[in-house]
Amino acid sequence: MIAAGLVMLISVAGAVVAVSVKNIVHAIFGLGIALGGLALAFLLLSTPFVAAMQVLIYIGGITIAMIFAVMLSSTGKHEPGEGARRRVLAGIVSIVFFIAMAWVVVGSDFGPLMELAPEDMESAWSVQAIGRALLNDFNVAFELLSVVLLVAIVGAISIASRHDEGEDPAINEEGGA
Amino acid sequence: MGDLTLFVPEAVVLLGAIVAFVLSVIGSSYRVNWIASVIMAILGVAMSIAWLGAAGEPFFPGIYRVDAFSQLLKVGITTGLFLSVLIAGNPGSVREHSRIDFPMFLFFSAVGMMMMVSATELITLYVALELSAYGLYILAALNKRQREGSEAAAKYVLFGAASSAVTLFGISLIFGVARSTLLSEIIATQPTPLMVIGVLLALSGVLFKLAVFPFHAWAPDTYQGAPHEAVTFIGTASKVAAVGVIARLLFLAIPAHDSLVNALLVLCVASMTVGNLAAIVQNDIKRVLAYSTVAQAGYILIGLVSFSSMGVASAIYYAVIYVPIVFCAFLVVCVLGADGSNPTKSSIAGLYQRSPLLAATLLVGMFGLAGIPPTSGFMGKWFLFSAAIKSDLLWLVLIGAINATVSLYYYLRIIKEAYLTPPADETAIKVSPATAIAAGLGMTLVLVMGIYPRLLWELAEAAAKAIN
Amino acid sequence: MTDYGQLIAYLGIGFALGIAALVVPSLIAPRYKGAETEKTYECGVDTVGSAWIRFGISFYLFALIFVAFEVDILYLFPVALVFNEEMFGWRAFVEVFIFLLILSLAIVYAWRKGVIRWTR
Repeated sequence: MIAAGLVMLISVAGAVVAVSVKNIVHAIFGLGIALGGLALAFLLLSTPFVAAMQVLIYIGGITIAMIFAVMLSSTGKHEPGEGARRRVLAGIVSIVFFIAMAWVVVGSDFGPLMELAPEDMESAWSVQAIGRALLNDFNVAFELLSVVLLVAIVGAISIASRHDEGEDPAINEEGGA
Repeated sequence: MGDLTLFVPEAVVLLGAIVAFVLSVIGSSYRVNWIASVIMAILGVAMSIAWLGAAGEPFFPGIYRVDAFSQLLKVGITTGLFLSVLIAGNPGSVREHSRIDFPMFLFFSAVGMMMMVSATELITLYVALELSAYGLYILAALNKRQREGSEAAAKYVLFGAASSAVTLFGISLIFGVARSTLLSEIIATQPTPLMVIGVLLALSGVLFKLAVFPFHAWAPDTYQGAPHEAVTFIGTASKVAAVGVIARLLFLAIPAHDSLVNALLVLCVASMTVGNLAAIVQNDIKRVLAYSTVAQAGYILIGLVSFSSMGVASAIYYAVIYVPIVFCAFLVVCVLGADGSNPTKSSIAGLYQRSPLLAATLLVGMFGLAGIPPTSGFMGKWFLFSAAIKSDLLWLVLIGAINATVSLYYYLRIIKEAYLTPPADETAIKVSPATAIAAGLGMTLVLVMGIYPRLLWELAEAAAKAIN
Repeated sequence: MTDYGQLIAYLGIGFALGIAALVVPSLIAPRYKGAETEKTYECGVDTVGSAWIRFGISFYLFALIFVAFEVDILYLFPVALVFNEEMFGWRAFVEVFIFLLILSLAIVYAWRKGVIRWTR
């Protein structure tokens, strides 16, 4: 229980840093901490494979890609944040959503899932079990995933590749700086 | 594994994507790529129609279902794909070096949509949803005016990613309660409050695609900044797929539940009202059409919140007839904006003198959107409203009728500009043969389905029975 | 959880070394303050410009392609562990083959469109 609380604390602290600091690099660092906290949460839930995925993809991939994006785009200028009114409004919406969700989740009965022994959990979520599921029932999703990733890669190349045609000189000048 | 031949329509469209990919990779000209794409799209429509009566499960049980419902929507999706490809013979608003990839993304996205309406398992459904969404995000970014294209795509992606996250959260809640991602097993579990919230959150990702009220913020800016041909596809095929998924989730996952119905009623009324009121003040035609989409999504929700077989049938019917109607409107946008600019109210002034064909297409499109007989838009609204009346939602029908009247104002104002205002520039507009054929086809579909609604209505009724 | 005891121990050693690397020099190193002290990076060559420069887009494309393939690899891990089990027969092989075939199209595309060619 203490471990779970600690992990949640790390995640929430990281998330708060991610949305509150002005410097975007610091924000990405906060996001990394939040994602690391989530990886620990997956470990606590006896799903080491998902935890490893979390670390590899999110901390190792996504945040690095974000850093790259910052290196490419901004020149260290700090954008002014949202106005106070919008911040308050967003805060109210989030708090209401959180209270409503917490109220419903606490009030629900999740039944026998709670009683599943840790060893059973581990075998139910083992890497092999995931592999078998991907090859059997979820084979449509599995094959479709490769198509999704193909489209993502091809799309990224198609959008970002530099074949400046001088259609929009303002963009090209900035891009060459 | 089941009968794989049931997968033929999707496979043909996927093959179309691969053909377009290969042609792009070997560096053929856009013309060749376009002709091949048109042929593949025709094949896709033909296969969808030929497989209209198919039923069964091509893969593992419970994952993917081919039935009257999914097949009718696939016809709608492939029709949208075909029409969008047909007018993309010389897509002036798409930037030069990405043009060759343009049909490929249309096809990939269409595959995602076709699989979305057949998927009966939440993870498969989600992955298909993402496939269709990725294609659309990329299409939106390919505008010739890069700054606008990037803005359109960025807004679309950010809103889309946020709503995807909400959808995933909803799916996780459903899984937590039902302990399964198969819709057939989810429907068997007793709905708890958590489950209802889960379904509502999962729905929000699809409501985003349909641009229903609180999820509509992306629509005007994306419609405005994305290439015309891409918006044609976003505005037609993706709506059919979204309606299909909403209907499946609502009726397979959960029996009519009060709080869910109330939430959807609020969205329905808000969508119609906000969309119509905002559309009145727009000057850019694409923005008008974007807000009109929001309003139309509200009308479609009328059918879905009726929670009856007839309600679903009317929503499906409306989604399918909506494809050629919106297409007619966007065809005019594509031709007028062939240089990459966005047509405004003033640029359609005197369209009748400059090109009678385009003016007629615009007329049919606007009459269809407004729901004026003899277009299919009228029959669609008639079915939606009568389904609501049967479900004792007379007040909702009244609000819908008031909204339809309000919408007449801005639809007819566009027509008035096109027919009665003298043009500033009297040169005739050249319409390419393919576009002329597309215009004829679009108008024929709108009018035929308006005058003989029976065939499609029977298909829609069979579709509604298939999921109930 | 005991399996992770080792991990925690390694983590602890890592942190301890990091702290030691800061504490030890501060105790024993001589202190000067000169022109070179404030340098971002000390390597004998004068540093040029600010750290906030923009990099070529080619780097980003590589990063994006890397992320996408990383996601693929993570799906391949579990599948690779079990795809030769008796229960699947040839089907699993075909499924993995299709998966990899579709993915390799992405490489073909990147290659044909000249992404892999280094232009800067």
